[in-house]
Amino acid sequence: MVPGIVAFTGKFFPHSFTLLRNVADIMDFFEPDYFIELLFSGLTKGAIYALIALGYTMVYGIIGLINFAHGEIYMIGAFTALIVSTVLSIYGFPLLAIFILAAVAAVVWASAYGYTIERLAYRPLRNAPRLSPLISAIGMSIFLQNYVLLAQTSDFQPFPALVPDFAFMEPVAHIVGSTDLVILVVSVIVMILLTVMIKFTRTGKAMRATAQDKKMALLVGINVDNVISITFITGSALAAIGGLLIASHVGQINFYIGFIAGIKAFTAAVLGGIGSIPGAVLGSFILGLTESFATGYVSSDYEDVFAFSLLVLILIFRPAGLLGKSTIEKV
Amino acid sequence: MYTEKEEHHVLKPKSLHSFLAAFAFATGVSTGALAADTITIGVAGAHSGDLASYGLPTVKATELVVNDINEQGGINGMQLKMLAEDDVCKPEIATNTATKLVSENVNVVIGHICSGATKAALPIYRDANIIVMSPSATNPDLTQSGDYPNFYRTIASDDLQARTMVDFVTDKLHAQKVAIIHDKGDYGKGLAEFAKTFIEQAGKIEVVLFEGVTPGAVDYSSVVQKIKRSKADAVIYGGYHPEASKIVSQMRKKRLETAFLGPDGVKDDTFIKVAGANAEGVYATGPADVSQNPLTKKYRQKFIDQEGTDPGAFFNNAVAAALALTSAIEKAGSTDSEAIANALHNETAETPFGAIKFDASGEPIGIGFIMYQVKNGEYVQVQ
Amino acid sequence: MLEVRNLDTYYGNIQALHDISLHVEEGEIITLIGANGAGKSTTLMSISGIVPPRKGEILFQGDPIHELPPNHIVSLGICQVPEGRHIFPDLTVAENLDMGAFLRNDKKQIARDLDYLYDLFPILRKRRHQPGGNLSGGEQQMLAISRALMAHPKLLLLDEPSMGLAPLVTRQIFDIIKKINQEQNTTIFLVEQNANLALKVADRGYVLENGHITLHDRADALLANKDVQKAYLGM
Repeated sequence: MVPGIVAFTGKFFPHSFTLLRNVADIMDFFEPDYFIELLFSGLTKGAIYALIALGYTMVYGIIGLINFAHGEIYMIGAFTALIVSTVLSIYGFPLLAIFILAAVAAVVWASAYGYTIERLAYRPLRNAPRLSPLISAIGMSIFLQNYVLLAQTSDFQPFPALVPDFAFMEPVAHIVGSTDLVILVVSVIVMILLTVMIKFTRTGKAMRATAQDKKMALLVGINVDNVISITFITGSALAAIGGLLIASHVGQINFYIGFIAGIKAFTAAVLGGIGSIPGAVLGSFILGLTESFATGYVSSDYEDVFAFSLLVLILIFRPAGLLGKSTIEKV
Repeated sequence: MYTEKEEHHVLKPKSLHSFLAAFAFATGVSTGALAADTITIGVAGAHSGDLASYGLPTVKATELVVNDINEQGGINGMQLKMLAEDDVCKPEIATNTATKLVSENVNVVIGHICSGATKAALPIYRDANIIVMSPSATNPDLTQSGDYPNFYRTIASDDLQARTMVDFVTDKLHAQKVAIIHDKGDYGKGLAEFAKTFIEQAGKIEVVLFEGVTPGAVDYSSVVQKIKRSKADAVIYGGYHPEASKIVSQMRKKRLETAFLGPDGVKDDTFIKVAGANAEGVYATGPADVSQNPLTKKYRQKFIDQEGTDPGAFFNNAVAAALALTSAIEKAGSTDSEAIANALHNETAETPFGAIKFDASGEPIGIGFIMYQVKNGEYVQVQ
Repeated sequence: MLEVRNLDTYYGNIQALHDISLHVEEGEIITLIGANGAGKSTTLMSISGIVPPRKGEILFQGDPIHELPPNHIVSLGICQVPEGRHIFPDLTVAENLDMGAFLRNDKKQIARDLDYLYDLFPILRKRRHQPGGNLSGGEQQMLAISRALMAHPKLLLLDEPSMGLAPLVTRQIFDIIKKINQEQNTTIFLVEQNANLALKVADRGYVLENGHITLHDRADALLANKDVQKAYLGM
């Protein structure tokens, strides 16, 4: 009887044993430790992209413009942080104070740039054909790049490590570094603050209302011009924080960093659905994780191939991005 | 790091003069260089057009060496003549240039400048049994294919840096597993591929990872994790310093202390400035500093005295070629190609790079790359 | 209360309004009737400051407002419910109402007004946590009117409140309009294509044709007017 049962199970569940072995193989292939390391790499990357992508998506949501100069705002934030932290370290400030003051300076300065760019390059074209502000944005991007190129040369400047190696991180330092941790924590805090602001404050509501229906926003008494300015300022502030954290992470900056980071963040924003704030965050993390796992399990030669194939795939099935709304032309 | 492009030229009055002189001489005497009382050195390369700046310093360098020797009574009583011909760095023109020089019965040729033109011209010289020495053609094939036993050069071939790194990793670091990372660019990827080939050919050690990274990316930690998983003992990097400093810094932050080797694109002070403490211990290949060599100083000064500017690209290499060839002719006591070749392989010549001779394939021994390491914030030569 | 004098308004180079003059007295309901494209909505948009007039004056309680930005005009007490309702689709019903009170700071009074409106339109209370975009057309119209009322307007501009609604719902909306006018003493400027309905609730009416005011009279007189009957009342 017993052999009969074995034969019976074997006959009807021929795959049961191979299946078990496959699970072990898969576990082996993924190597849990390695997987976790790649996961953290991807999350850090995602957080970095998200800080920049939010600016793209917020501006697009409010005025339907792709602010090509946003990457340059990020770059200017990084340079401001560099200059301030260099000066402060000469005066012997403690690292935490330098970090905070550099962040404040970067946020203020980058926001001032964001505000000015909108006033100078976009507001006069508010009622012009859509292509005009787009060209203006590209022009602004080129102008700012070259302006920093002239002021700071094209050489890479060393950026001080504003985040020390925390002693408590030492046991896991081989998986996730102190800077990565700070990037993750700061981004999460910033995103929560942004969500609270958008969701619950008067300004946040005015932003949402303006994004959804500009004419009606005017009719309920919202000063739409101010809301647009605030949007640029908020986006620029986030990019400046991103600039500071990333520069501190990679340890070097030059005038061109905004372009490359900007392209990736923009991709993330489109992936998530441009105009959607949760979409930008989701898109950024998906992009970061895809790049990390593609590098880890396939090859970094194809990092970008994977990232952009993913974008194409998502846009085929969801043309407006993951969380984007297909826009209906309003009459 | 040396890139080559193809190019064009018109004879300078000076060159034309020597050309006429050589022509008169050549028509007077049939063949048999031994019997002649003049030794003719052909100089071929781009002497006009966009790439003239690569070719003209060679003409000048040869002229300076020739004049020097002639002033001291020539070689074994024979005066030297120089005959310059333009190939514009174009292979199709280089064959004409070579044919012309051969028909003028030159004894040796310094040139050509660009690898493509050199390759096109070499068979013609080979068939005429004339020795050719390039100051600037870096394509590895020229020596390694074995097709041109008459070819020599006074510049390191493109793959020499890779060779230097691989030898160092194998013999000095005693690494068993090597990760090779590059930046997908011509320079970086080319170097990485040479390194991979050398390691695989030798078969002593193993390439456990071969990957390209995207220049300018905000984060390389997944590649760093991959290096870690590969358990490599050393990383050979093909590319420039901005990415190298990011990768090294992220490796060190992830507590990965694997040895890191870069090419001359990394042997840059900016690398140390940017990577800071993380740069410590990083290896990089680079050319030896020859600026203090007496011959370098002497010919540089002569050039400045006559032209009023700094000598341009490949000037030292051209001086070295002229000196090596003339010294070989002197030591051979003949302009017979086999005798010259013998001297090139066996006798050293004093050049701006120090004493050099040539290996069996025609590569210079004594011109190349040496290994540096960052110590206390400075690149120092590894002993 | 509101006095419009010799208004000329343009869209680019195209003149939409020609020498429009009209006035609205406190506490009354007036209506502007006319065909599609006559310039009814433009008149309201000019008053609200969205499409500022190129020539002429708009006085509100004696002060000129035609050069003020829209938010300033709202703060003076002129609110508009635009054609097509313009509900913020992704804001909840409660948030939409909240936006109506954007310029107000008196929290207690806002809460009382909200209660009043929820009593007026119980369906809105029931749906207060739903996105505005999910409401039916009638509910959206109720929400749009309520949102405007949250600003506590002195003058309410209503653009085509009956558009796209079932007759029953339309009647309900008009009942409410009357109620607001009576209970809150809100002056109402009503733009309607449904002239019959409009003239029945209104005290006075203006007829707009191709950007010109062609007729002005008491509402009952306009209802009895043969030309108006022929052109706008389908009789």
